[in-house]
Amino acid sequence: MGYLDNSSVTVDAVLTKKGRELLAKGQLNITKFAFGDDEIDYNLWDPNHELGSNYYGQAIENLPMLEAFSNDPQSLKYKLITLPKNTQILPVVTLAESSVILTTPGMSSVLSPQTSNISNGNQQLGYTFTIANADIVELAAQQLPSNTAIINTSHTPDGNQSSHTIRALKASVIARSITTTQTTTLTITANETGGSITVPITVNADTVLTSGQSAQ
Amino acid sequence: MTAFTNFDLEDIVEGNIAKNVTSTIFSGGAGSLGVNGVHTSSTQTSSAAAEYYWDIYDKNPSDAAAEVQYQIAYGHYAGSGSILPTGLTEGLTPTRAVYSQFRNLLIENPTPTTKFTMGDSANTTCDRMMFISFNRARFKEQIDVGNWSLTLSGSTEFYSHSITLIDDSSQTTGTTENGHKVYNIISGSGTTPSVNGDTSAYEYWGKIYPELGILALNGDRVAGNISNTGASAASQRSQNLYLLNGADSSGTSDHINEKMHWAIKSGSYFSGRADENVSSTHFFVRAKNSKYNFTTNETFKTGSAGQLRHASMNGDPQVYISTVGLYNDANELCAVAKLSKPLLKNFEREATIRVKLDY
Repeated sequence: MGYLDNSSVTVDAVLTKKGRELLAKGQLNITKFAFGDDEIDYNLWDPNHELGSNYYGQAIENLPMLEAFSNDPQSLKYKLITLPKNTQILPVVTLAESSVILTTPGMSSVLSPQTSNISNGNQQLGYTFTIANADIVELAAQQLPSNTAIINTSHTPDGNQSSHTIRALKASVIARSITTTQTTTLTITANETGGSITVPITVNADTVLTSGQSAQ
Repeated sequence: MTAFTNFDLEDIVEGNIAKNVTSTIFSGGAGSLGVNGVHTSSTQTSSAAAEYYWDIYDKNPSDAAAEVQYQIAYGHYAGSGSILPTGLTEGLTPTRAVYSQFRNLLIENPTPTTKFTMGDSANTTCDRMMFISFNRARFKEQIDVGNWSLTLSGSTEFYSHSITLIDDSSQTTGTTENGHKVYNIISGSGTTPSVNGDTSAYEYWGKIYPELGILALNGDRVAGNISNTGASAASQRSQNLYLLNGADSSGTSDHINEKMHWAIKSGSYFSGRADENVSSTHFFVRAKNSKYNFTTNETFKTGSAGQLRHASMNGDPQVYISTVGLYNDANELCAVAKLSKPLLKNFEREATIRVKLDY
């Protein structure tokens, strides 16, 4: 009779850049979790493994994992989701725009992600919009999901190039006044069905800035 | 249906558990600095700041990985032993400024005439003080008292010997001075103090302020000007380091910072530990058998329509957990935990993962 394996799965977490920022402000309050599988390539799943079904996932399970990184907008890009057991078609999140270019300060573009293959997908909890550098782009909710508990915060540019997150069904990105043309990314994550889209947002330099005028 | 799950109250074990976490006080996990682990920067030691303090590195400063471990600063009550910068009123020398700076920081109700005192019958007040200040990042919350040791080696035309310093935390609970915890620095080895051969008393070499990361050494002993009439040569030797090797200079540098650096380097042993209280919060992350059995991973599906890539997974999806994300109410990702290997999840398996977050 062998010994039972009593090792439990215990992992150490690291704060993201956003987490450190919130901790410094005394506003770190973790309330929920999600699972991710960013590094997993399901092409490595081998249903033809000659040793049988217990070994289909061998190539994936032997994969050594990288350490966590703290760039919050790009972490957990792919999330595990809950769907009925016999689901054969996964919800797909799409966005009409593949990129956004904002040429003048104050110029905006409304982004309206859609979820297909499921009725009323994400209507209850909406989408999470995360702009990686909120110093150059302002995020504003255009249509809130039906869950009335959702409250969004605003972000004041502080020169730290920190991210800003809101939840909405539709959101607009609004160019701030900046001195040099910059590009950042907007990540849209579906709060119910999972799935995310990342689009580059380019903000052109404000050409009418005068000497001595400050810009973020 | 959601990609996020709210924690239940019992899933979060709040981080009010503070414990003493110790680690080496020097960079790179080095338990001690030997003769090859003590370096100076010629740029720094030739600068005006060197009249006040010397930066001590763990590696040659030309090495990009070199980091300042501690600083050495010599102070004199009346300002002796350092040059007088041009135009400055006589007496307001760097050594006096250093003495005043640490007096204001360490002594309760300091006045311009207050001197550092030691629990030492041979030398209760100190005109000279030698300060070793650890870099803030090195000692974290405090120096771990009882677990540091410094060997100094001095040499003069009369004596060549070394002395090993520890604190007296194994003998006392310490005192508080100006709101700071204080222990005496005495000669000894490990946690065992040594006593003077003549008097059988401890030899007090200074004070350690663990919360400030400061060793305040009795400069009169370090410089070697304590003279005990009638003491034996061995006793006299054990009480002094003789760095000054003569009288204090006036208006010229006695190079005590440099001499102290060489005393530490020649001693070849400086060990210590940092001590901090770490608050940990544990999150119990639970994936029930019916939850989290699909993924939005692009490789899990095929084509733009969203069909499962592997037909064998129809009705029996198999996914892997590699990462746990911790979020706030606004869905902002606050912390990330990675598993050492992917964890299989399907409708027949449940997973409970304990995520530990240290602040």
